[in-house]
Amino acid sequence: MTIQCDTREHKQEWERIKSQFDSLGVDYYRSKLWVGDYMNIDNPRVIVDRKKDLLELCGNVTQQHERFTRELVRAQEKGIKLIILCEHGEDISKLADVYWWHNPRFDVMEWAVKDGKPCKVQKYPQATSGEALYKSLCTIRDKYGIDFHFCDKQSTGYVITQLLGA
Amino acid sequence: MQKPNGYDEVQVGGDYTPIELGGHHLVIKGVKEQESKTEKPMVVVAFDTAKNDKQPGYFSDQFDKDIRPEKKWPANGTMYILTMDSQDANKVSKSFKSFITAFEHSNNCEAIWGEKFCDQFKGKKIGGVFGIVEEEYNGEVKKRHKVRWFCDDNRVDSANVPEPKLLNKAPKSADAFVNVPEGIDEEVPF
Repeated sequence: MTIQCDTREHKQEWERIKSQFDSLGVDYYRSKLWVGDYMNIDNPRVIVDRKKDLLELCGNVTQQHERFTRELVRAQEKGIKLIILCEHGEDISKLADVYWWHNPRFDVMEWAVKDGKPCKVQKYPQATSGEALYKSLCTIRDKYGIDFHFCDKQSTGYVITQLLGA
Repeated sequence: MQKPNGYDEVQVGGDYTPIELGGHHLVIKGVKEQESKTEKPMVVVAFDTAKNDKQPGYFSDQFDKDIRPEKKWPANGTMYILTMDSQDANKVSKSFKSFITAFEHSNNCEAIWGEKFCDQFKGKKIGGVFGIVEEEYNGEVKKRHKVRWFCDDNRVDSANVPEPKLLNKAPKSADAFVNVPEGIDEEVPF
């Protein structure tokens, strides 16, 4: 199997995944991909888009919604099966686990003045909850035919090869 | 017709495997503090069967297969526990203490009280003993497989199936009366 890896992957992340490919004996080369991050050159109809954690995925779904949706539409129109692989680790091993995710932004506090007294309040009370993110991901899955997979950072390289049909 | 997205994931009608009775290894998905309908303090414990259980991921699979847009975590994978005794509001309820004790023994830890109380449970293991519970739904008595109590995760494999918890009253459908909806326009055919 030879994997084409997108050139826009972060250096540090790429170094980690590259070393995992090396230990698995997988061939790869870096070249810009039209959508996603990893593609088996023998099967360009399946592409893996890597997300480092749920916070990144959450940002894609909310703040960068339009750009993200454009990419999903582009893949769908070209008949490409896009697989989003989120290497969140910990206790997120399938989509249903996202429902129970606690967005760490809820824990960010700031000082405010209430009734004339300084007190700590949530800085982002409107942050996306796990339940809301789960619902958005289900909609994306059903509307654009996207598959969501989850892994930890130690197994990303292996999971990519499995998803691309090793 | 093109194969609709998610076709393979949808459960066939009638294709339902109930959770087995007896002990199960569980993983706590989340705990929330809230008030009961009668404004009594309680905790809501949501759980799934653990990877090492005989039916792993049972409730998350059910949840995934539920295609309703406003779906909630399965009712059978949720337990509502009043924190104080229903007869004496100054006494801690037995079921709440049993839950905390089972959590502590299963994870070899001590519960942390205070502001972050609910956060400590997520992803932690606990045992659960499932039994038959009779419930009335739309005038019919249904038998459901529900968690009856939590236990130490190490005691799951030796747990016995509890006696069924039956409703005390006779089912409405058995009293020879037929419920006629109020305000019905048609004549009753008898």
